[in-house]
Amino acid sequence: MNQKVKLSIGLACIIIISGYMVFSVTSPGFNEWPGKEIASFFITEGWKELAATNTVTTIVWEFRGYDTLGEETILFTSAMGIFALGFGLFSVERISGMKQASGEAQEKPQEASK
Amino acid sequence: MNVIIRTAARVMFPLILLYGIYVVVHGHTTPGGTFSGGSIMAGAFVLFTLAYGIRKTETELKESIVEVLKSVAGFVLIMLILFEFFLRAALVPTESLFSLWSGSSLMFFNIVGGIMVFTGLLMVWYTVAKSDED
Amino acid sequence: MIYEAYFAAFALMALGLFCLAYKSNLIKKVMGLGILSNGLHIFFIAMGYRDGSINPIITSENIQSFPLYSVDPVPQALVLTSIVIDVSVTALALLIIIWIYRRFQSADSGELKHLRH
Repeated sequence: MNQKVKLSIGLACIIIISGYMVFSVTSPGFNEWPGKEIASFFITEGWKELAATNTVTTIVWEFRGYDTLGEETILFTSAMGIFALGFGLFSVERISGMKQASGEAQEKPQEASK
Repeated sequence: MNVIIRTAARVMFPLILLYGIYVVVHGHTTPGGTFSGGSIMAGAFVLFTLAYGIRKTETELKESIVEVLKSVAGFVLIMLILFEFFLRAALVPTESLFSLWSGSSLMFFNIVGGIMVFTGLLMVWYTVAKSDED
Repeated sequence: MIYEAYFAAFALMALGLFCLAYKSNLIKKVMGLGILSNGLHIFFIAMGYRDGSINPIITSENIQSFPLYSVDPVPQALVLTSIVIDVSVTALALLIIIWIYRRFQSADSGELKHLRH
């Protein structure tokens, strides 16, 4: 199939998905407030646990503390990964070594600008 | 960089750092917390590096100190989250509901988490900025 | 129910999905992933809206009317975690793209399919 058929099929799929999302949001009983139990619990009883006025911080560190533990692990791991993979990535020896290894006789490698 | 940018960066650097520390420490009364405050504190160091170069920024805060601080903050944060239930009565006592010393253990969480985000982003920045010296 | 926020969120998600699927440069795919994530965050927070709209922080003025007027604080806590994960994934993805370019001299997903062997 050529390029125009693929593009039109993709646009049609996106329009159908967006139309269904818009239809489900504007239907009458979508997000009514008397029916929310978890939010009512956190609003009325949330500040009694740690006596703090910020409800969002209490949820993040005390009611859902394990999610925050996982998030800090991800941040730590990604910082360590960038340090391990990217140390000395743009140095002159590594650039010239890679260009010789891939078999291309190129112009002089880029000088590291200070 | 020329004189205007260097003077402006030297003036703004402690002010931005102080504002970041304010956002982190007041995380239990105003919107904010670890991630937004830590990003602001790392942004001050990025501004200083763009104006003066990486050699001068290295004399302000060495890379070895940042590594040690990140590991220590990570370890303390994990211990604090896992054993928070037993330490809750021994931490900051709650006076009134609207002062700075409310929320019995939230201030320690925010400070340690803010140090961890700040040093994590600063490690990434040092790796990118020092990578052409080998 | 704020309709403008919902339409903006769906427009961003559709745009991000189209950019992720149909661009052949690898860096543009990473940008499309970021746009898709941000549209999803806006949709998730807009679902907690309430007519009255006080943010979920107790001050000394609104301690009486706080359970009647504040918005939902749970999606805001979940989106905070999701933003941090998005930053970490983008940083590592861009680093891997730099390694791919140094090895294969090309950052085009159509050409990289044929270089596999």
